[in-house]
Amino acid sequence: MHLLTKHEDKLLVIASRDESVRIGDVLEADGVISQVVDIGFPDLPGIQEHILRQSLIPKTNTKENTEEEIRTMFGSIADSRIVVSKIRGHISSSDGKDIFKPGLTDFNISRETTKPIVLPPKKLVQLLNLNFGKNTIATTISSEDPIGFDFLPNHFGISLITGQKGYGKSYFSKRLLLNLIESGALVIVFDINGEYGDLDKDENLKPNDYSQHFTFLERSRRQPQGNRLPFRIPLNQISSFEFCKAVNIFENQATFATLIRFWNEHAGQQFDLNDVRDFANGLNDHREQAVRETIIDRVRTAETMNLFGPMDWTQILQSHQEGGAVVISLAREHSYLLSIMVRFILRSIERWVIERQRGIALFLEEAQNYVEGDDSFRDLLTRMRHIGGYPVFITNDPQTLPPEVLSLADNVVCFKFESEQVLSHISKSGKIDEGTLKNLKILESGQCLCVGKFTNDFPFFLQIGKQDGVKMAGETKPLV
Amino acid sequence: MGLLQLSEEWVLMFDTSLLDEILVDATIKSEKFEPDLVDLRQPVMARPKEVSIEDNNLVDIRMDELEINKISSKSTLDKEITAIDSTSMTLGRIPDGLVGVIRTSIVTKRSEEQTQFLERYGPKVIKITNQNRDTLYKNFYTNIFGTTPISLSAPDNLKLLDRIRNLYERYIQSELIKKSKCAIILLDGSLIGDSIDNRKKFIDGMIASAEENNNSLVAISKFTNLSLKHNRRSILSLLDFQEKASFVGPLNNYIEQKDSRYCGYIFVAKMSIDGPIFRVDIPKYIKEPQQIFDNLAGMSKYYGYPEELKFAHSTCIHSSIEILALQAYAIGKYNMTIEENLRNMIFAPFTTG
Repeated sequence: MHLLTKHEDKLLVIASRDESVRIGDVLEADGVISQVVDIGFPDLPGIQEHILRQSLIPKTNTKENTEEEIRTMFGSIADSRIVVSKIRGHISSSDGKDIFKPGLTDFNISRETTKPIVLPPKKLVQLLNLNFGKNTIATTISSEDPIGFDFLPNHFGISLITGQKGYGKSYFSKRLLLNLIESGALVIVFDINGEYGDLDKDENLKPNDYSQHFTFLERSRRQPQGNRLPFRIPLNQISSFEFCKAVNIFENQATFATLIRFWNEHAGQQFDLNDVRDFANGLNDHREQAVRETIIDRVRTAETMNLFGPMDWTQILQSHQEGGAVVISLAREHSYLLSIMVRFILRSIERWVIERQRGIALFLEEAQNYVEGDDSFRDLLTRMRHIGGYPVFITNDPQTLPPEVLSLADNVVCFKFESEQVLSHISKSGKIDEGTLKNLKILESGQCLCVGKFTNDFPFFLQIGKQDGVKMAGETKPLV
Repeated sequence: MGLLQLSEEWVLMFDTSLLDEILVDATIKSEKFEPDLVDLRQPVMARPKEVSIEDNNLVDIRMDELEINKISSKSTLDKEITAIDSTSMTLGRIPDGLVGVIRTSIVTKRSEEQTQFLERYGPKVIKITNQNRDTLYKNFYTNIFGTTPISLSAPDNLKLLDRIRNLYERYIQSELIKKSKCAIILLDGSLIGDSIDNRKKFIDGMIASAEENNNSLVAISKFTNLSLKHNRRSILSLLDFQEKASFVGPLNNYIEQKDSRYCGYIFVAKMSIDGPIFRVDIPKYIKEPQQIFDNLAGMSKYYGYPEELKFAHSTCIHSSIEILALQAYAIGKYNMTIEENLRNMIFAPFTTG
């Protein structure tokens, strides 16, 4: 390869057809580190003219009486490629050790003597001071000896996993979840699409090695069965407002004020729907008759909702604190219940995290469906993140999430996107430049671009590996 | 598979090994090479062929004395048409000469087919120096014409490159004429003999072969030094005001010098409306030139120039990247060194793109 020129923050390199180089490769040119974001042919009239002239008469109808060496040489130039690489930084020495430093103020490279090379990924991760274990779930996409890449738990923060449908976003999320479990992390999954329900099974739907590490909570379930438990909210752990909302009591009703009174009188105590009914039955004043009837009616309604009741949330989390996942099924839930459930879960998690001083990863599939309002998102992104709740937003449409998700994200993992609009939206995160992002259009299924704390802010093109022994599901169901 | 078989049937593959051997100069030592600047932003201009300066006779005729013959385009589907053309280019300078390249193309359309086939000879890289040029010229000339050149001293290096191209092309032309039967063979140039680099005997031999094989030999030239006596303008101006496809000639009887070097009849023709005007030489054995011109118009319907000849020309020209590649090849082949500052000059066009 030969340096051709530098244009703004891009190095243009000429590569012959025999030199293997691909999108995502990292080039090193006398200490300057750049990353390949585009590969094309030198688009010059002279070359186009050559190709056009060749097309006059098809090759099959052409016989050349030319030295092979000359013919090869023609092909070499016609097939030369211009490699556009974005300058990421440079190699610097610190305590006798080479490290990567972003930015480039010096430019001491020569067109004549500098020979750009594809930096082996092994060397790149050394420069970035990244250390991966053996059981990695992805490999680098690179022409030079790809290596395993891991999403280390201590590099979690606010993460966004996105990509258009069918290109591996959910598959990756599940692999990441299993990886976190193996690392001893506790994960809460907000399973809005019902995609995580079989992760405790193998391909033959038999319990797999992870089955002990999962608890599935479902509101519709009446009795516990193995690791599948009914999801219930202890009444004393939600506010009177939330209860009223769930059972359709409005703020201007007398009943609303009466229930606030009950909640206040029972503050700090355990109570359930029976206690509320008893309270109502105790309202003997004839002026309170209508209120009594309403409360008793709503308690009956609440009983049919299968939502309120005892559930030892602390114990559930405790059982997985050395590595496990609690999957809360939110599929088929009405939106008005979703918000109550999610608020309760987040409150419970917050309490647990503060008490135990242990972080929890929150997998939020399509969070815009159940995290209500920008304030709730802000709470997730700032306060929750601060106390140790690490949200992982998973969506196929990042535009539906508030802009803060992108701007505050510590990690972004992007799978294929073709929409210019979405690419432009993602670029606003400032994490990845547009030139690099446009390569999302050409990614294959299972390939992604990852940048953030996972990568020490250096964009990595990755191929997600296959997970054996787990029913990953998630594929679109066939029509027939 | 079918296409491959077709093309194998068609392949001519003339033996050029003797000529090629002459071009390989074993005595060449490593030298400094100053490559010609190649600008990939521009199409390459082929080096113009040398027009025979001896062909500068005057033609004593006026427009009003001429009969203008109308041309009616005629389909050439049933004809085999073969066109041949060649070009030369310099690749760069060496202390005592130059390194150049020649290439010859033959484009064939077979009878009852519309597809064209291409056979190319070259690029042949030639190193011409003050030391080797006389030998090179003599050997080349002798090999083709079977006799030594009139003057044993070769022209200057640049002219010699074009002479070698011309000799090479003549050789391929003569081989092609011998091998083809009942074909229209289109040559780029004229049928003049006994100029410095065209022996009349050789041209006559080509014409005799063509007649023997029932080939129609047609030489078409975009330039000519033949000019009208009364105004000294090119004979091509005879059709300046003709809108429609037409031809005039033969003009041989009006050439003042009655030169016997013209081996064919000389015409001026325009093959399509608004098309360019050409000098067309046709051998004297062809009794009905009208048919030839009607056929020429049939194969010139798009640009007023026969498609096969156009393709032959387009495919023998060296594109800029071919020149770059050939420069690199020549440096390797002749073990030459390229000066650092000149290397930058070669690649300079890239940097501004």
